[in-house]
Amino acid sequence: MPSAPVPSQKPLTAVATSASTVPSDSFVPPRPPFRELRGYTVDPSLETNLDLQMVSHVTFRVPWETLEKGPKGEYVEVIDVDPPSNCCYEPVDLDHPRILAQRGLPPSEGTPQFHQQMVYAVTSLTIHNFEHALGRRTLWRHKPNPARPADDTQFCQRLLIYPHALREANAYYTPGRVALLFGYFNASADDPGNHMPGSMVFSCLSHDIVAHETTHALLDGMNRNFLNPSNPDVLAFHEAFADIVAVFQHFTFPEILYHQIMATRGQLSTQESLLSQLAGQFGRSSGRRGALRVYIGKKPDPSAYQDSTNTQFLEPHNRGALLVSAVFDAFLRIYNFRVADLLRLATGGSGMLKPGAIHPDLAQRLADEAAKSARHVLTMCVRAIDYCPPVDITFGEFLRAVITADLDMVANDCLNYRTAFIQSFRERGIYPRDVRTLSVDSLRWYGPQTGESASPALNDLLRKLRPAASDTIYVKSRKDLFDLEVGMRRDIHHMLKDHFANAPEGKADAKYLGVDLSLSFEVRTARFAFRTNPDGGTVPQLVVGLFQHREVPADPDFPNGEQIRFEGGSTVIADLHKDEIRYCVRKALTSGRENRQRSFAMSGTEGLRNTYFGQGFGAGAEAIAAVHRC
Amino acid sequence: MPTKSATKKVAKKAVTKSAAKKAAPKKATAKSTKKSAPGGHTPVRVRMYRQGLGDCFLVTFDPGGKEVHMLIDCGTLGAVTTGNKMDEIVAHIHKTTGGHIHLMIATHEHQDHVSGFHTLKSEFQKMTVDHVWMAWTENPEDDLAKSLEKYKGDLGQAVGLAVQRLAKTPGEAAATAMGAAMGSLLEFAIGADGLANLGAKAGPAKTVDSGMTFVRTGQKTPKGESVKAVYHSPGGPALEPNWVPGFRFYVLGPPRDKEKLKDMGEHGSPDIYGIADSLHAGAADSDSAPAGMDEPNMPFDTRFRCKETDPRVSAFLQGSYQNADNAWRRVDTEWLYGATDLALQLDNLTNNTSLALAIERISDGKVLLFPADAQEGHWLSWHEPKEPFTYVQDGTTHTTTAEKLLNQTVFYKVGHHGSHNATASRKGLEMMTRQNELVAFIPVDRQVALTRSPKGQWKMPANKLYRTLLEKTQGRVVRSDIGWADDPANAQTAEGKEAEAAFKDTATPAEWAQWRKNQAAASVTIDPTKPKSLYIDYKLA
Repeated sequence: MPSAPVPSQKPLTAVATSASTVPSDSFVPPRPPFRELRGYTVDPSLETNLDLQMVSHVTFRVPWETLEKGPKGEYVEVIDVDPPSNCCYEPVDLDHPRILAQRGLPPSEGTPQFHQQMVYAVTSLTIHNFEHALGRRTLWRHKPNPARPADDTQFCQRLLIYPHALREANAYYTPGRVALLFGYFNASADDPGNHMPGSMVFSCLSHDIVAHETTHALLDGMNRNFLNPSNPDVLAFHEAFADIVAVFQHFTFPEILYHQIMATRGQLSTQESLLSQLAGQFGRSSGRRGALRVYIGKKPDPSAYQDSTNTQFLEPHNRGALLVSAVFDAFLRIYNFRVADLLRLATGGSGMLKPGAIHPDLAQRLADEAAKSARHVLTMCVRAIDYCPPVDITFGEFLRAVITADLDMVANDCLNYRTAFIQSFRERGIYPRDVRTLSVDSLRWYGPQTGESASPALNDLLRKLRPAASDTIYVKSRKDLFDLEVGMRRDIHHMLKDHFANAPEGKADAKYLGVDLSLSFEVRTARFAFRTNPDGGTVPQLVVGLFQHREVPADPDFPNGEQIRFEGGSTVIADLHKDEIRYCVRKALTSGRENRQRSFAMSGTEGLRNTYFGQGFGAGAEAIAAVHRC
Repeated sequence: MPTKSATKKVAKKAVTKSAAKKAAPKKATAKSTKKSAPGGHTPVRVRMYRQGLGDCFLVTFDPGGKEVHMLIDCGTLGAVTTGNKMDEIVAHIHKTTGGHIHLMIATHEHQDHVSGFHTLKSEFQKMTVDHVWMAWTENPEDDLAKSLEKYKGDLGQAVGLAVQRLAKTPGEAAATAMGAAMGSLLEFAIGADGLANLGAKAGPAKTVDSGMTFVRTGQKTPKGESVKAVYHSPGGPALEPNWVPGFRFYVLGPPRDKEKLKDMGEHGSPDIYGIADSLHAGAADSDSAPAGMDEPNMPFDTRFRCKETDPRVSAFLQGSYQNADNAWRRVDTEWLYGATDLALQLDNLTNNTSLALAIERISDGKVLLFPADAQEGHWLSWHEPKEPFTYVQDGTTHTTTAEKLLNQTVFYKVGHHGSHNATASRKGLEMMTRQNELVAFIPVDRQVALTRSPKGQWKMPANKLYRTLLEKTQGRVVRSDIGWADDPANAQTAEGKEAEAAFKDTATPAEWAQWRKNQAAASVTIDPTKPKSLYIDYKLA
């Protein structure tokens, strides 16, 4: 991968920059590439398990940045107030020499300052992994403007993190505050798992929960339309994607990977594998059997996903688990493919391991391959986000996005990654509505290669955006990047509006881009991505999200009753080298989609909550928080 | 755990059953069919009182003949549309029954069903009662009922604390709205006076409870003896009391199953008992120093916990959390949102303890359905009774099913004031197939429902259900607030128009025209001269 833009361009520390008081030729130590911080690998419950105790801790390597107390850095700020217990906790200073000298505070459930360190470390790591895959710096959702709700031009630099904001088995991302809220609670008395019944469990100490919530925030920052639940897949996709990031992030910890390869003799598909379990502590203590979401070892049932009457599979977590299991299965196929030769080498050609422990060297090699496979799968998934439709996503469309993104990056799929994805998805009944065959070629999004293209005049307009693209490369701060994108969105909007109205090809191009000219349209996102393909070349791309909506009655029988927002739009991906729109991922305002969204909207209005509270109130009523409440 | 408690439940159930039999001895049907009205059937009159948002039904068997009176509930959250007062209602009950009620039923412990038994206790004390029926969940001797009672109490206390806490932290509009909404829900359980007097330490007041207790223990027979309440469990042999000849009573619920009672449907939430505890601990005595709290329930020990003014954190907080730029991101009351779930759980659970009855007229099998406020999970349980429904005909025992009873239903007391989740569709309304005579009575006051918090949100009745009811009954839907369901365009007052606006598109003028004909032909009596009359009658001739 290319060197992803360094998160912070600020100087190393205050001491190092006060150059005026230090002779100019005095020795300046090099900038540390990482800050090492200790934390829990999964969650604190591993500490008291003899088999797992030795891997219960891990050292996170997060990009070095200047920190204030909190910690407060470039991307996140931890504020440790605890309204439920009516108190607050001293902020940790991660630059304190004693903390620097011992790779962060030692893991401790009883020290709030360690909790602050843990959430900081895991969010930073997740952000880093995201930026690595995307090839650009991430931005959070805009700061809301109460005076003008439609205004999305105010920059919000940091995600706020409240490690102890709730007293319940819950944690969520709230878009209204651009903040993560974590809860703590007493372990269930009936089934506390590895905990003492009634003892305190902290959701902010679970790597998976923190990574999961951070991913929600990252996705929302990339595309806030993702959160409008217009079909059963939308919220499920959010849950699944956040889980995918959390699961695969484990594979970046060499310590636990090696240990688990030894323990499972390389068979990562074993159900007991720790890596396949998410949120162990959270699940057990809140009284559920086993981990909250376990993916492996379930035989997929292709009809379950398609069956729109199966209420169990309409629940976002269950439905999301299906997508996670598909991606995990693809990962296992890739891993098994990659290690087949190693196993043959280690077994004299038979590929059959003898009983007992495996050789440490083999374990190390297998761990390397697992880490590599996981990194590739995660990168494929994250990259696919740019190729997803801007609204109303379905799992099948995510598959198309994964395949298309990978085709753009890797011309020669010699390790069969794409095939592995297609096969795993197919076995679970996940495929797009509108493809004739399930092959790499037919899954690729519409574009010139499928005989659809924009007019030459529209393609020529892309040339005008080249200066903005080069500005992006040299932009100094994330604030500047945000402002640049806001300006670019405005420019593109003017450009397209003018083109649709005045150019002879305008109407045809609007149709191609899925824009309904009887309604106004917005340019919700506009950003550049610079990606390096494995052949070493750079691919400069422009990703534009167009968006439209109209109000329609939720129930056709009651045209004057409750209205819902029916949204449409498209994601346009253009190649700036060739001045060509390569793909247009359309979600036009069609009646078929409208009916689907209506019937889905109606299905959610039957609960007791709706009887009394209607739309609800507070951040807790936001779609994401409601899904998380358990 | 499951096996152990299962055996316990069975044993307990047997006891309750036998007790029920003793108190209400069954008689063979031969005797009961002996005396019948001209058509060969004993008539029944169902009188729905119009006391606002709440239930009060007086069912009179053989009216004009050897009358037997059965009072199902007597409660309200207030009447705006009719303006009727509870004392007028109770006086009317006294007059109609001659001060003697044969059977008194309190379906469940909610203000809108039992408030009259508390506020007009003295009036009820002037009447006599032969029998009192309640659900097994009200039996103070029943272990499962006791554990539910405790659970409800804990939930209520936690919600009460949350409401108090929100009342003390004004400023944030969303938080205030949240507190008001939870208060409105809690009012079902503790009444308006209970809500007004939420004690700092004492927990919720017990006004609703006192109404229940009065029904349970305060009733006297004409001879002056105390009436012993009979607690009913679902399934098993139908009750055929010899003092109501010609009728069978099937007890449909509440199910003897804690999980089913707590079930909130597919959009519900699982157990959050632990949170209630935490909420309790966290909310307790919130103004005193943190050190005063229940220590094991605190997340960290005292040396870590600071007040916001503590010099260790004050400077930091001023620059961050308390900074004016961050005002939109504060989370002071966010944690209390969890309590809305508890409030909903409490409401759902109590509704699910409803004593649901199907009353069958033996001579023609027609059924009057009184599900009280049973929620969907409760309805579904009727179809899987642990003991099948049976009845004795000509000396032999037959089994029947909830489906058959629903098929035979000609009168349906709509559950929970017409809310969406209190009438099961596929396993409920869809099975009521007697479209040519089915009548539905909705005890509701829409204007009251709309004034509860949050304003304009309570869906009673719910649009979709209202429409389906109108279809299933071919227009024979009666509401206690406005009488016959009507084209919203006909609403009389400005307030009425506003309240009915949501139903604007319920049906076409042609449908209303057809429905009005059916309404005119139905055996329902609404005094046309008095739009605010005290009651509406349905008669099964």
